[in-house]
Amino acid sequence: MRTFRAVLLCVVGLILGGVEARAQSAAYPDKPVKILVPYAPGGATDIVARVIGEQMRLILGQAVVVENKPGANGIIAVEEMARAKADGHTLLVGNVTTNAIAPVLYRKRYKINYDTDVVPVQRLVDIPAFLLVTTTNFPPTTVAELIDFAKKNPGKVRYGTVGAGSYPHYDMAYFAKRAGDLNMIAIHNKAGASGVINDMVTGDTQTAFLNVASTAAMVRAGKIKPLAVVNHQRLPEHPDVPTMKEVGYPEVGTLAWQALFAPAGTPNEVLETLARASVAAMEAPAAQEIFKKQNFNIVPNKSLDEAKTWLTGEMAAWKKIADEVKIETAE
Amino acid sequence: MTVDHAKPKGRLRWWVVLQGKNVLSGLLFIGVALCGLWISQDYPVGTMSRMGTGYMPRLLLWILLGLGGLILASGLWQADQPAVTDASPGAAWRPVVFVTLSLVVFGLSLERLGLVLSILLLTGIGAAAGRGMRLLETAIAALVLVALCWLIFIVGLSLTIPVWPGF
Amino acid sequence: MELLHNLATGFGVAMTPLNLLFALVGALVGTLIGVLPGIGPIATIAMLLPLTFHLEPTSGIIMLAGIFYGAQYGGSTSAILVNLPGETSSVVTCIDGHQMARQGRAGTALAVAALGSFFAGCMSTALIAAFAPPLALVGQSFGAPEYFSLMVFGLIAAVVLAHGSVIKAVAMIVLGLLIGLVGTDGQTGGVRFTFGITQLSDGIDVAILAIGLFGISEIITNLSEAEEERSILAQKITRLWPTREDFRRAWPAALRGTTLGSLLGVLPGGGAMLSSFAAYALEKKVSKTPSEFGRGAVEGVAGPESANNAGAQTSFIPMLTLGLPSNAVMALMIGALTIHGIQPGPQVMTERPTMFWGLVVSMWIGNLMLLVINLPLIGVWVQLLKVPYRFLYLAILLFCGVGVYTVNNSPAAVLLAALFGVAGYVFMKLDCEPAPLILGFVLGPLMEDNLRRALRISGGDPTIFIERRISLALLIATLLLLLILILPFIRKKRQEAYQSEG
Repeated sequence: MRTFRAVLLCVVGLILGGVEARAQSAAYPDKPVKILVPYAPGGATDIVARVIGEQMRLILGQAVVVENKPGANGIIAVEEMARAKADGHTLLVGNVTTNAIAPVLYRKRYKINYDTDVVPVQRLVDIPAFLLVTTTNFPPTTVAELIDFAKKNPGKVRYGTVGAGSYPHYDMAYFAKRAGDLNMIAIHNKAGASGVINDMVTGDTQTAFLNVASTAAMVRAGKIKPLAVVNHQRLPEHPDVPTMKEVGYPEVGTLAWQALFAPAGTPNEVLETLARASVAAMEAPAAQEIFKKQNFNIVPNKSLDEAKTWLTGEMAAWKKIADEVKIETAE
Repeated sequence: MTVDHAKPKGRLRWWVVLQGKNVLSGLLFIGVALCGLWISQDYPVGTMSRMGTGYMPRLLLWILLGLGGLILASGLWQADQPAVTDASPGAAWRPVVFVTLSLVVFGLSLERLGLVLSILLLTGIGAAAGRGMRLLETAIAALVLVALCWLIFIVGLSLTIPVWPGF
Repeated sequence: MELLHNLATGFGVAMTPLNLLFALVGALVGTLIGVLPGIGPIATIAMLLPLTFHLEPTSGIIMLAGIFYGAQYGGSTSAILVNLPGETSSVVTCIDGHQMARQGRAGTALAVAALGSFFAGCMSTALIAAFAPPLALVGQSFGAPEYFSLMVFGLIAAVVLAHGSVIKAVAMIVLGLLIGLVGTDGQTGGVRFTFGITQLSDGIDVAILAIGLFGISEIITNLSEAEEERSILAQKITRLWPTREDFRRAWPAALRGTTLGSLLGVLPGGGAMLSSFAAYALEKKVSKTPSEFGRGAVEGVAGPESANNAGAQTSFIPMLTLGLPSNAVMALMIGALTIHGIQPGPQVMTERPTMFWGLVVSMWIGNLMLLVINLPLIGVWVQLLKVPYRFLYLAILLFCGVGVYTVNNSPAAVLLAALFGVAGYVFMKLDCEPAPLILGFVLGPLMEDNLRRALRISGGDPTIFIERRISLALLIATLLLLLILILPFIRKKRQEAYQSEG
C-alpha cells in the first residue's frame, strides 16, 4: 500500500509537470539547445561539438548543452536525435562514419529511416588524413615504392585500421584495389588511432591511413613517415608531402568531416538560423584558432539545399566504395 | 563434513539434492552454456589460424558446459554439500523484486520524467524492498535524496540529466 | 644533477598559488566523483574540458590530472563502506575492504587505503621523474603476442582470487570471458550475443557489471537477511587508525602493489584496473595466512589500492613521452592539450619542460593534498555507516542508478545493472564469487583480440608467441605459476593416498 501511495504521488507530480508545458509560438530558440555527440568525450567530434556549442551559445543567446551518446557507430545518437521533437532544440554533430558510412553499411540496424528522418544543417569541418608508413625496418618512402614493395612481397605488408569496416579499413582496401589488387593484410586495433600508431612503431604493421592531428607528433619524431595527404591541397606544415591526387589516386582516402544534423521536419527558418549560427560559430576567432591547430578545414555549405546534395553525394560515394571493395563484415 | 560419503544417493529426496549449492550452480552454468551454444550456432567459426566471430565464444561455451557438468557431478557426489537456505523463508523475493523494479522504473523514467520525479519513483518502489519503512519516513528520505542529487549532480557536476519532464 | 634542476623547474611551476589551487580543485572533485559509483573521471573531465580552454595549458592539465588520481582515492571509500566499487579499479578492494568494515574496522581499511595510495603516488611520481623515457619503451615493446601472453598469465593468476571452490572460480572466469565477448567483434565486425539490442553492440561497460554484481546485489543480500544479521553493518566501530600490527602487514603489501601497478600502468589498456587484481592475487599468494583473504585481510586492501594509484600515475608516461594514450582518460587529456596547440609526443619533455615537470611535481603535491583531505574524512565516512540501513540503501540504490546512467548517458545501462544485481545475488547464494568473473570480463576481449591479431600478423603461425622474447618469458612465468598452484594439490592428494594406504 505504501508503494501504491508513493506511485500515486509521483503520478500527480507528473500531471502537474505536464500543465507547465510551454507555449509554442516563442521565437527560436526559446530553451536550451541540446547537441548530441555519437562518441564518448574527448574525440574530434566531441571537441568540434563543444567548441561550436560554446560559440553558438553566445550567438543564439541560449544555453547549448553537449550530450555524449556513444555506441553502435552512432546509431544510438542518430536515432535519438531523429525521434526528438523537430523544433531545433535537439541537434547532432556527426561525422563521416556516423552519418554517411553507417547508414550505407548498416541500413538494417536502424529503427528509423535515415534518408527521410535526418536532415543535414551544415557541413562544419574537413579533417585531412595521411597515408603513412613506419620507419621501423621498412624501406619504401614514396607511394610508388610502397606499391612496388607490396607487389613484390604479396601478403607481407600489413596495414593498421581502427576496426573491421571502419573507413581507414576501406581506404586501404580501396587503395590496394586501385593500385593493382595488392595483397596486403589488415590488422585491426580497437584502441583507435593511438593503437594503430603503436602497432606501426612496434613494426607489427607497416602502413595505415590516419588523420593528421593524431599522428603529427609521431611524424615529427620520425617514428612514422607520411607518404601522401588526403586533402584538397598540400598542408602548409608539410609542404613536401604530395596529395593523393598528385600521386595519381584522387578518389582514394577519406577526407573525414564533421557536420551538424537536425531531425527532419524542423521548420526551415529554424534550420536557416542554425546554419547561419554555426557558420558564425566556426568563424569566431576562438574556434578558428583551435581548428587551425588541429588542421581542420572549415568548409561550410552555402545553403540548406547544397548541404542535402552534399550528403547525398557522400552517401552515394560510400555505396560505390562498399560495392567495389566488398569487405567481409557481418550484414 | 562427516564420513557420509557411502550414503546411497537414493535415500536423498530429489528436492533436497536440488537445494545443494553445487548442484544448482552446476545446473546454472550448464543452462547458460546451452543457451549460449544455441544462440551462437550460426556464428562463423573459422579455423585456428583464422578465427571467425564464433570461434572463441563457442570454445568457451563448451568449456563452460564441461565445468558446469563437473560442478554438478561434484554436487551429486557429495551428499553433504551446503544447501541454499534463507534466514526467513520467503524473505528473499521481496528485495529481489522491488530493488530490480525500482531500478528498471528509474531507468525508463529518467529521460522522460526527469531526475526529480524519477528519484521519487525509485525511492517509492525501493522502499517496498525493505521492511519497517513508514510512509512519512520514505517521503522525507525521498525529498532529502532529491535535494542531495540536485546539489551533487546538477549544481556540482552539471551532468546533462534532465531535471524536469521535457515536453 | 639535471634531475634536480628539472624538479626545481617543476616546483617553480607547481607551487604558484594558482596551480596549487587547481591541483586542490582537481583533488577535491576527483575524490567526490571517486566516491560516487559510475561517474568516473572521463565524464567529469569532459565536463570541465571547455573550462580549460580559458586556462593556461599547464594549469588545465594539473587540474584534470588531479581529478584522475583523486578518483582512485575516492573509489576505495565506497568499496570499503558499502561494497560498491566507486571506480572500476577498486573492485578488488570490495573483497577484503568491505569485510573489514563489517568487522567494525572501516576506519582502519580507509586509512590503509589512503596511506597506501599516498605511498604509491609518491613512489610512482618519483619513477616518472627519473625513468619516464625508458619506461615508455616497455609499453612500446608490447605488441599483440606479448599482450596475449600477459592475458594468459593474468587468467591463471585469477584463479588465486577465489577463496572458495577452485572449479567454480574457473567457471566464473569463463563466464566473465563470455560476457566480455558481448558486442561487436573487432576483427570481423560481426555482432555476438546482443539479442538485437543496439545498446549492446559496443559491449557492456565494466562499471555497469561491477556496480550490478557488487553494489546492487549487496543491497538485495542485506535486505533479504534478517534484521539482526544486517546490524553487522552498524557494529561498533572499534578504532579509526591502523594498529602497529596492521602497519607491519600493510607496508610490504603496499610496496609490492606499487611495483606491480607502476609496471602495468605503463601498458596501454586498463593498466590500473588490471594491476589491482594482480596485486590482490600476489598478496594472497605470498601471504602466510591466505585463508584470511576474503575475510578482512589488511594486505588485500593495501596491495590493490597502492597498485591502482601507482598505475594511474604511471599511465601518464606513454601519454607524456609518446603522445599515445594508455586509457580513455589519457586520450581526453591529449584532446585537452591539442586544443591548446600542444602535441604530446616524444618532444614534449624537451619542448615544454615547464609543463612536463610542473605536472610531475603537481602530482606529488596533489597526492599529499589527497592524503590531507582523506585522513580527516575517514571519521566522517565512518559516521555514514551509522545512518540506519533502511535509509542508506535507498541512497546507494539511487547513486547506483544515476551513476550507471552517466557511464554512457544510457537508460538501458540502468536496466542492465539491475539484471546484474539479481545475477550477483544468485551467485552469492550459490557461493560463486563475482571477482574472478569481473577479471575474466576485463581480460576476455583483450585476450581474444590480441590472439587473433597476433595470428594475423604471423600469418597463422602460432610460434610467434614463443619467438617473441617478452611473450616467451610471460608464458614461462605462466607455466611456473601453474606449477605453484597445482603442486600443493598433488602433494595433498599424495598424502591422502599415502594415509589411506597406511
